[in-house]
Amino acid sequence: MAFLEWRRFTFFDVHNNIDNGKIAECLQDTHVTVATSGNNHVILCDLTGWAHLISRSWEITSFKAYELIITHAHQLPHDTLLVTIGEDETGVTPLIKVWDWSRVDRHGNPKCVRTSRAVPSHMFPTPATALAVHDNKNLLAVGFQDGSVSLFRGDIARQRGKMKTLSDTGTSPITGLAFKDTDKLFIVSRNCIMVSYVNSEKCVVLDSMGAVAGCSVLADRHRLTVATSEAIYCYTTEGRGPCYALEGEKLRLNWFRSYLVITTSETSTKPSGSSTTPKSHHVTILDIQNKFIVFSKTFEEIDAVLTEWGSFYILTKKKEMIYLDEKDLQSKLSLLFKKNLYDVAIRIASSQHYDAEGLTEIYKQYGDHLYSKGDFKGAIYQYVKTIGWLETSYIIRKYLEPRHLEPLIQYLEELHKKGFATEDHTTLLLTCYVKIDQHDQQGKLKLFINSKDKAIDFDVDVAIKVVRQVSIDDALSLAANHNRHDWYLKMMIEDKKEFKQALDYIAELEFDDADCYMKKYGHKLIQHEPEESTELLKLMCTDYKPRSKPLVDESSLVGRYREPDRSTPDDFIHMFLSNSEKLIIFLEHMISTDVKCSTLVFDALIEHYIHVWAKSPNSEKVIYEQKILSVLKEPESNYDKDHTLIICQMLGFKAGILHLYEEKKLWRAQVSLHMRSGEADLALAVCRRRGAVCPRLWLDVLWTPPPPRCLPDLLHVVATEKLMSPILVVDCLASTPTYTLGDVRKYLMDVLKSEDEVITREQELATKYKKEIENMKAHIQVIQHEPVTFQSSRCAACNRPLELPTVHFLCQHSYHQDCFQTYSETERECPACAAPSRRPEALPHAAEALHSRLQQQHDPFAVVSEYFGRGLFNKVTVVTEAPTPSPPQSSSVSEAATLSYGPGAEAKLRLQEGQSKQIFVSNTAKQIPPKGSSIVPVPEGRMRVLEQQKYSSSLEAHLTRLEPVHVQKDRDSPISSAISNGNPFEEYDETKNPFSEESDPTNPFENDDYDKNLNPFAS
Amino acid sequence: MAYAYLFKYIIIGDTGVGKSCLLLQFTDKRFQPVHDLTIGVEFGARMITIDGKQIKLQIWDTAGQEAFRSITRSYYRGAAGALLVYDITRRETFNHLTTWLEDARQHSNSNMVIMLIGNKSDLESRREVKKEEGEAFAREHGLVFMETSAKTAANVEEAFINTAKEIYEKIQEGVFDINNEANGIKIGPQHSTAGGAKAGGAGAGGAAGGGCC
Repeated sequence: MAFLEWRRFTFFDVHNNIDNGKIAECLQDTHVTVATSGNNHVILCDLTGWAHLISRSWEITSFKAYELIITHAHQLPHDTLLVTIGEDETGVTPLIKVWDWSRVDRHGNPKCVRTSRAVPSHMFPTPATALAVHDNKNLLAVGFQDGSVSLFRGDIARQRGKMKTLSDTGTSPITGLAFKDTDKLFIVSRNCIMVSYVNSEKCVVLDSMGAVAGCSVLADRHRLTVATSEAIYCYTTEGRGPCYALEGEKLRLNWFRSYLVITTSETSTKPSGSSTTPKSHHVTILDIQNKFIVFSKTFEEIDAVLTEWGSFYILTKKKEMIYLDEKDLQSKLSLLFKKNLYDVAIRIASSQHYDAEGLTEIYKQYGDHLYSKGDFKGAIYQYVKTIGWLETSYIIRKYLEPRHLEPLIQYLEELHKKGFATEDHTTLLLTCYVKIDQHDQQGKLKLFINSKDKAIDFDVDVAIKVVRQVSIDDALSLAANHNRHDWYLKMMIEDKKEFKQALDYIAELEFDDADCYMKKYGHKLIQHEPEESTELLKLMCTDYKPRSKPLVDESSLVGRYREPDRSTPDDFIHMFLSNSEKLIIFLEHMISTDVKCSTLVFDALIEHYIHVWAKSPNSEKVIYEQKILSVLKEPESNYDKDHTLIICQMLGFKAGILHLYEEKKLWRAQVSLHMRSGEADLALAVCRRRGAVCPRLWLDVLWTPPPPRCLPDLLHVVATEKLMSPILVVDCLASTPTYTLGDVRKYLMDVLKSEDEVITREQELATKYKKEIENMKAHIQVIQHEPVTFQSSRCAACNRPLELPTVHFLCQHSYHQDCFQTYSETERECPACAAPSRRPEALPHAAEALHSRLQQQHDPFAVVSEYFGRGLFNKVTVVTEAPTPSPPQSSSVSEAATLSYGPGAEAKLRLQEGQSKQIFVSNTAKQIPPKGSSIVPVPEGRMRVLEQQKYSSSLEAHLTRLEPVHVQKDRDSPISSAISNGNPFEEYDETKNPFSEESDPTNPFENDDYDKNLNPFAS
Repeated sequence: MAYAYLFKYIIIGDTGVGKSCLLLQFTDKRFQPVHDLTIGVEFGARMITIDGKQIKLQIWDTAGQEAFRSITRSYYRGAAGALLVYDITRRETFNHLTTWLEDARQHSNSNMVIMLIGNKSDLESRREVKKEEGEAFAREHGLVFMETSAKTAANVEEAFINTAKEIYEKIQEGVFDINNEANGIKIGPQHSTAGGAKAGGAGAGGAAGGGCC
């Protein structure tokens, strides 16, 4: 035994006598010469030529394979084929027999499918010393005592095929043969180790040392493992590989899974000469991969080591079957844990493909173990491996003390690298960096921040937040490295107050970013760096390009049109809040470069112009005034007039106000402004300019009141245009104490004179009317009370002499009855008289007129209120005399009355109306506050005049109507009479009312079988 | 993986000087603070590139224990390069260098490139052997010298690669017979014809060698 060896464990449990002595019973006193296993069976061959087939349940099938002895046997692992070499007769070349134990011959024994002589090609008999069969059943090799190797190619279960002896295999006895794949054969002799290439029959010597029989095995199907007394060597087809020193006389090598089973003969301390001491063998199992000894125990003399049924079986000389039961992984691990051999446990667990969670648990235990031993750094290595499975807080908590900073940092860095880090982890890591930097100036933080390629994955925002609290410069470079412009600017502006740098930074950015951040931080930047900020903004609103970019970029060279990036100046205006001068510069630039500026731009520009204007000394005001006016007057300027007006008013920029009033047609305001500022001449100028359109202006001037020198002009206009009743004018003038009578004398004189004229005219008319009335009354009297003689001899219709039957009218018209019936529309009227008095049909009914107006006019409310103002909707009590059929004798009187109210009368009435206008206005203006006046901007007086015209037309119509059926009681009021006639609801055409209850034959829905019960809205 | 040349190295030196760690650092780029004793001979391989050529380094890490000397000696043969390692914190490992050198020279071919390596340069505080001493020893015996640290990986790559460069130069100079595998140099499969042409005749063996592996 080597004094230096690998770590030793016991991963196998020994179960003695697993077969309950069945094998011993079967074999009795013979000895096992060779044992092989495969296809779920173990085959033992004994000295007497018997072979014993043992199944898993220890059932033994024995058959006589050879007459004398079986020397070699090989059971194919996946077939029922057993290859044996043995002797049937002494001194004769041994025989190779192939058995198929799934078939039986006539004796009930396994069938021998092949028998051939095992002899090299030189045909000298020599004992066979080694046998190898390839699993594919097509290759079979036999090694001989004299060093020759015979190879058989072909189906081993058939008789055909030939043996071929390989050349150059030396002369020392062959002790081991192993196929590697189908083309290479490892040959181990006493003196050397060779590899023979089956196809080329070339033989290459791998090493010049050999091994005894049984001490070579093919491990893992590709590595030949050979045991010598001092070590175990591995060979590949290319040459010698690693070796493991293990002293002792090796008897047997076996390979099972990843274990190498070595049987050594125990050198007993006693002298071996005494034959009474039974020999003992030592079994060592190596885990080659992990380099442990996983089992080591001394047994009695061992005949065979079998690897079948998933484990090891040891057959001792006494034919006892010992079963080595491999422990399961969990118990192996717990064994290792007990010894604190965590690293070994990890190795084993990972080599056996233990699941990740289980491994994590081991790492954790290992970590805990190292931690408890005080090896914090070592522990963290283990903890790092638990990342992703183990709760990070478990570890972090352990390392929170300041002296554990470095391991903690290591852990956190790993956490970041593996992408399991949360925001808190980043924070913690950075805090650790900061701490450790304070401590020993390692500059870890800097290193971390400057790692541009993001070797450590972390949340940049969190990092910046943390670093910002410690070192602004570091945070800045971190932000710059990771393009966190927002953070960068925020820190630059808020913490460093390096506005210039912040601006430069923005200028480097792409347009979208620059735009966004300028909006965000522009206010502060403008506050502190007005010049540069304004320049930048100008750039941004015209044609922005990052400063770092070349002036002419490639796409424009190619000829593609580049849509210039530009932001809207509107977004930036508010930033200039307290800096009107810069804003003006900015906006002027905007307006000069881009015509399509928004209202806001102009508004702001004008506003700030005015502000500056207000602040600037008088000498400069002119310049600004001109500037403002030029902007205001520029037709392209797209400013909000109301807004601008308010600003002008607020800051008293008169020129602007006036201009805007003019634009908005607010002449009254213009006038009042002039008046307020005492510039009556200007006010009058406005009046003169605009008075035609808006006579009210004059009155405004009058009411202000104007200085006396303006009065004559003013009053003259008022008088000629009849803008206001003289009483009111006087009233108004009287309220100003400064006026002297002289100022108004002419006006008053004129007014009085005209009034006087009117009065005279009215009186004349009155007398005239009275006379007419008298006449009419007389006429009526005649018709009513005196007989009338019908004297006409001709028919008024056909102008032929009257013939009976005739119809006579009081109007002295007589007709043939036939003619009358032909001409007349009604029986009561004289067709001759009725025709001219008939109202033209074109005049629509008042109600319909109202409806159409309501529909046509944009402001129906104004229409309604106008009607309302006229009292059309008032309840009118019309007292009528009972319509009595006119007696025929009164027709002449009626005709006389008609004459006096003929077309001439109408003309007269019109004249009167024109003259009485003013009186009318003065009376009614006070009495009835016109509701429509606020909506219809017609000066009150005018409106009244218009109204009167309407009334007069209806009055005239009434008066000229012949039919004297309705006699108005209230004759002195022309309005009421008009109303009685014009009430739209009297003459309303019922058929046009869609809501009328009467059935309408044109109504398509009239006869609809509409079921009222189905109406969901019917109650 | 295809390679132009394969160089065999051995690492020798007293036990505990860090031979296995050097190898582990070179092949796996990691450091194992607790390393089991090497029982016998272990093995590692890595590809490097020299002069634009892929070169496979096959490195035999031997046990330093005296008890294993007989086993390890058998590995000297067929090595093109040797790293003779001592521990700068243990004087006796330096003192044993002569023995190791004799052993190596005796059992290997004469052209073998030997590099002297003073390992554990990270443990400066415990240094017992000065760098100058190492340099002097190397000069005296015609070795290349370098101080390394398997723990920090300092100079580890360089040690292996410089050795490889030296061997490569020797090949170019024609010192090595590249067709004799006993020299520890093998021509890669894809390179065999070119290598043979360069070597000037005697390309048959190389081609055959390439073909069989």
